Amino acid sequence: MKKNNIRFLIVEDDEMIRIIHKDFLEELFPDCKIFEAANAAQGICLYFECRPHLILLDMMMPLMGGETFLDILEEGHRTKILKEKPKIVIVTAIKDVKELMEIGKRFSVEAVISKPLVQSQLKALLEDWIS
Amino acid sequence: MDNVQYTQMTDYNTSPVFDMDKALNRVHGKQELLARVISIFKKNLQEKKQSIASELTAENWDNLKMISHSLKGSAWTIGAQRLGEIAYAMEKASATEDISSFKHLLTILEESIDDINTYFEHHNY
Amino acid sequence: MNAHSTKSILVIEDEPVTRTLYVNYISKLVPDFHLYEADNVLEGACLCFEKHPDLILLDIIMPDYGGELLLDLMEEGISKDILSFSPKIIVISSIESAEELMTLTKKIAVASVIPKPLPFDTLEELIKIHLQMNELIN
Repeated sequence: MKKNNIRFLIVEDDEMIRIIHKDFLEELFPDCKIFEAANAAQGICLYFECRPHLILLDMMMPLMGGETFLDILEEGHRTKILKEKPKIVIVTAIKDVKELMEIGKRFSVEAVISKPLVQSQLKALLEDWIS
Repeated sequence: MDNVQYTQMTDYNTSPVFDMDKALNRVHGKQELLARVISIFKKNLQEKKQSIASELTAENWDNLKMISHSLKGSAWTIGAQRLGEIAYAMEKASATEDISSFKHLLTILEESIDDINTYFEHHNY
Repeated sequence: MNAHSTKSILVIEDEPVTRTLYVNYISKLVPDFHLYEADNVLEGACLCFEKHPDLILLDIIMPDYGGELLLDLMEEGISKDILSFSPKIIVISSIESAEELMTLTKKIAVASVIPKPLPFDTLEELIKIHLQMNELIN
């Protein structure tokens, strides 16, 4: 993933958290493009419209949650409709270890980070992936 | 006698009402951003409080769990540690549909919301 | 191939025999069209967003995720101005109640609701109307 044209998608229902994520990403990658969704339905639409390289995905959201988001992309990949594989970082307040482990095994999930997001963790991952 | 099984506000006193260091860390020291984010958080708190009230009347436990979970994540993100702990307890009470615990926790939550609003006022947020 | 005028139809139906019936019927009706098919709504949603079909035939009752998933995606995508395209969706429903019919018909992107078992001549009429075609080939 190249620094100068990277696209991020933030899927998070809490407006305040979206703003914090966005500010954090913009500071790290000033040339990036950031798309925001308040639930998985908006997230899926934005995904197909904008093809982000990296997705910050919350799990529990009203209307449609992270599970469904992952289910849709997984199926798209399985049926070869979706050619590209975005990197998905789950940012969740879920505490149940078993649940977190299951989520970690899902399609395209590179990391599962607990809320509150420790930015240094995410920064390390991003710097690894993005040149 | 029924208070024996319930937690009290004092049980949450080990968590700070607001961790300003954490909050500033979150926004990389940007005061303006912090002010903006706190303003959204305050508004959100009111909205969630109202939602909880209506969902509780209807006993929509799935929704109550979702709102508590969301409040927990939000509170912990901004450094409102105590509020987050209470919301976490409410989330667990919602999962087991424990209405008496939930109602009890709600009164503690309301007190905690007052505390944090007072804190924000004192610090000119 | 004149890309901009070639229309496409997507059929989302889990039951294989039924789906084959729909696909065969439609392909005879409009042989020049691209036809896409999905046996579940997840795949259907991906095809919808990837291929931008002009018309979608959507079975509402399917195992796991039901057809409403696509309607919910459309609702958010269109009302929040995210989607650059707007397919027309013909929902196939056994229509158990007037209430259900009302709810479905009011959803964004739903062009028509048609009962099960599907009346094929009605489908033909609907395709003509929704794709604004004066006549269908053969």
